[in-house]
Amino acid sequence: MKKLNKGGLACLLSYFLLICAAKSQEAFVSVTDPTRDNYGSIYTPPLADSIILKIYEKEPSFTDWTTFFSIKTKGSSRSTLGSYSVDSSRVLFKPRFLPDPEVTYQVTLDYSSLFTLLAISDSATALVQEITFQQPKMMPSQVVSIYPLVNVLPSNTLKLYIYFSEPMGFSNPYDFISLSDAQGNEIKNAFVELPNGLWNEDRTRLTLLFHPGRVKQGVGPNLREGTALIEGELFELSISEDWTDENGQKLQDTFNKKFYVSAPSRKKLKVKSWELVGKCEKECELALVTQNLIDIEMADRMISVKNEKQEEISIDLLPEPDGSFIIHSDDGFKKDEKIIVRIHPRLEDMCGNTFLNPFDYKEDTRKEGEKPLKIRFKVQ
Amino acid sequence: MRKNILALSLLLSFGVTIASNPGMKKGSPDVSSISVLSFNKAGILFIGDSFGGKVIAVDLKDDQENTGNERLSIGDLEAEVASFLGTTSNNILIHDMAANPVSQNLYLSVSRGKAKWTSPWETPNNVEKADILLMVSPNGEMSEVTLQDVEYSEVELPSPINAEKEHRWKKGVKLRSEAITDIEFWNNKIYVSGLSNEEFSSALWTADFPFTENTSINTLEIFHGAHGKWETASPIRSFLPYELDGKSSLLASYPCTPLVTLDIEKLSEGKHVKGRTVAEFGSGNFPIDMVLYQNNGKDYVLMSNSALPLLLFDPKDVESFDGEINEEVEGYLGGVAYTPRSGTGIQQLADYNSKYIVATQRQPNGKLALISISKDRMRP
Repeated sequence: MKKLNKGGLACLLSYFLLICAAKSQEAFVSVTDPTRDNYGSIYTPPLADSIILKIYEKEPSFTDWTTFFSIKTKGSSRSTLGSYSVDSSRVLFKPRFLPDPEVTYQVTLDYSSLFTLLAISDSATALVQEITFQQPKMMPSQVVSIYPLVNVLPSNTLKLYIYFSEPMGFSNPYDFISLSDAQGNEIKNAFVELPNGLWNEDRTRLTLLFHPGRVKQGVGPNLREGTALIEGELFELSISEDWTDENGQKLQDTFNKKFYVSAPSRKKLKVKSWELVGKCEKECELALVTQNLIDIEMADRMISVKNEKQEEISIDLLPEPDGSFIIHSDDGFKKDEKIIVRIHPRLEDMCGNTFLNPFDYKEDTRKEGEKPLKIRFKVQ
Repeated sequence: MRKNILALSLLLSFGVTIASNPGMKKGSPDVSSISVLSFNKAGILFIGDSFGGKVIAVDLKDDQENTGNERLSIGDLEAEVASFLGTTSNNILIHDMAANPVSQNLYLSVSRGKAKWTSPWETPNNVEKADILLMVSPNGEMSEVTLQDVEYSEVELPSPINAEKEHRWKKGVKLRSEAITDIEFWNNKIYVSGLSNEEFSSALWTADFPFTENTSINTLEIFHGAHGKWETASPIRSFLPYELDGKSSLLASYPCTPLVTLDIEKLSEGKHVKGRTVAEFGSGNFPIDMVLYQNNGKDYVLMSNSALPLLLFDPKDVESFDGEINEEVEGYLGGVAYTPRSGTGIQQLADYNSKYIVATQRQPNGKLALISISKDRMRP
């Protein structure tokens, strides 16, 4: 009897502790960091061991769980789909789908319903909390390179390419691009400012066009203002870090490219001045050395390579800092292999000169043509 | 007998479970996209998997008979689904809907991909792969239906349209999402409409059910009165099996909007089959769904549309229509008459119980409601 009383007292004490623990007003724990494995999980405050055990033994259905521990999108009456479980001290909710960072979730721990479910006669105030989850962070975009990679540009350069690591947003590009001289004075009206910028499809490459009226000799802007780039001087092109990418994040850093300006390049291209150099180690690569700053984007479409059997070889053109290109083939070129490099005559350099005409051509000398130019080469 | 017991105990000891449906096995079917849903009268669910190029028959053991005649309504279905999936309604895309005729549980194939919707001509299946199957019980309770450890069988469709083929004028829209556009069960066979890799893309597959090796494909050709030409590229959007003049037939609707009959007997006569165009219901429209129902013991067909109201027609009018539309019709209308019913914005239709058809309807306030349409009120 004595023993029983003692046991009864212990039982009463543990029941009291159980209720106290169950009524703990500690907050929910939610995993809001998208980099964590259990992102989206929500834990109740600690509950007494005996409550946890009772829940475990009850094996609640999804509806049972939601009667006392519910997760709903704010304003909704329907519980969000997920799985429930218990660990040593808490009830855990794991959503079926990743949480939506734009949604506020209302999380409720209704002690009274919990006690009802477990047939415990008590009541307590429900714990209600609103939880939001962090947006997964994306790596901000950065300027990867500005083409041409060389640091000497002719004064009549017509275009540059700016390459970004991630798609950029829809801001006006020219608000974030500036050209200045060696004294830091900004050069005004240097570029053609197209309303939305001249982008490739996924907005990772911007074509920056120098004002052609200032480049082309003898026309109004050229006569009034001259070229933006002046021979013999140092300039700096600056891309501001305030420019935002498609996720609204600023660029990782401001990007600066300093370059000297050389004499204008006003002659048409000559294939005779181009040279192919084989570089053979285990496999062979070809370097295409030109005397011009070739438009890399046009070259991708307008330079092709065929083997002796006239079969097309798939190639990539990789620009080098000295202005040459590596012609890379995934299959590699074989030593002593005979190849033909075919070049479309309307391929331009960065000053707008082609194999047919210089950018500053005279009307009566303009030439048309489609016949490809060829360089025959034996890989050595 | 002893041998049988031994075999059975061996099977059980190796964990092999025996399915109760002929031709079915227990397991987890590999489903790439829950593109189309359809039930037979026994409550077997047919899932058309456009991206997987197959039809999966599943016995979900959802076989508790419900002979009730209650309506089912949810004011904002997308919001309820969104809340259940822990997101907002602007992420929710409902691809298809079907009612289990045994239990009156309603099944929805769903994805969280609405943000990708770019063109009014895209169906949900063009936009995203449906990867969630939900069930709404007659009392409005929602649950996720898992395809893990179920009784199923599947049939691969010969020559579904190649995954790389694009729509001829909708840039970037891949046609594989239209490999399956509708499925109907009729006299121990399933009929599957969609696009094939054949010279004439529009196709109808026929397969025995329970599935056997016997699966055939017919390519289809129809005269489109609104366009004034024979067409083979557009797939049937929705169809119903029906007996016309004592012959098993299919009543098929096409985009823009011809109604065509196909004689099932003719399917076995040759690979390429011409349908008989019996009506033109209007141009610039996309038929979404068709349902056959009875009003006062008489059959009617209800058809939902993207740009027309709910259309009602009497299949007996199809039967009594002697002619065939084989030249361009004036004003895009011709042939079998229909009755327009109030009900714009109605999308999915399902024969629910003896009193109601359930439908999803885009409301004037922009919400997508689940509504019940009384069959008693649906007559010409």
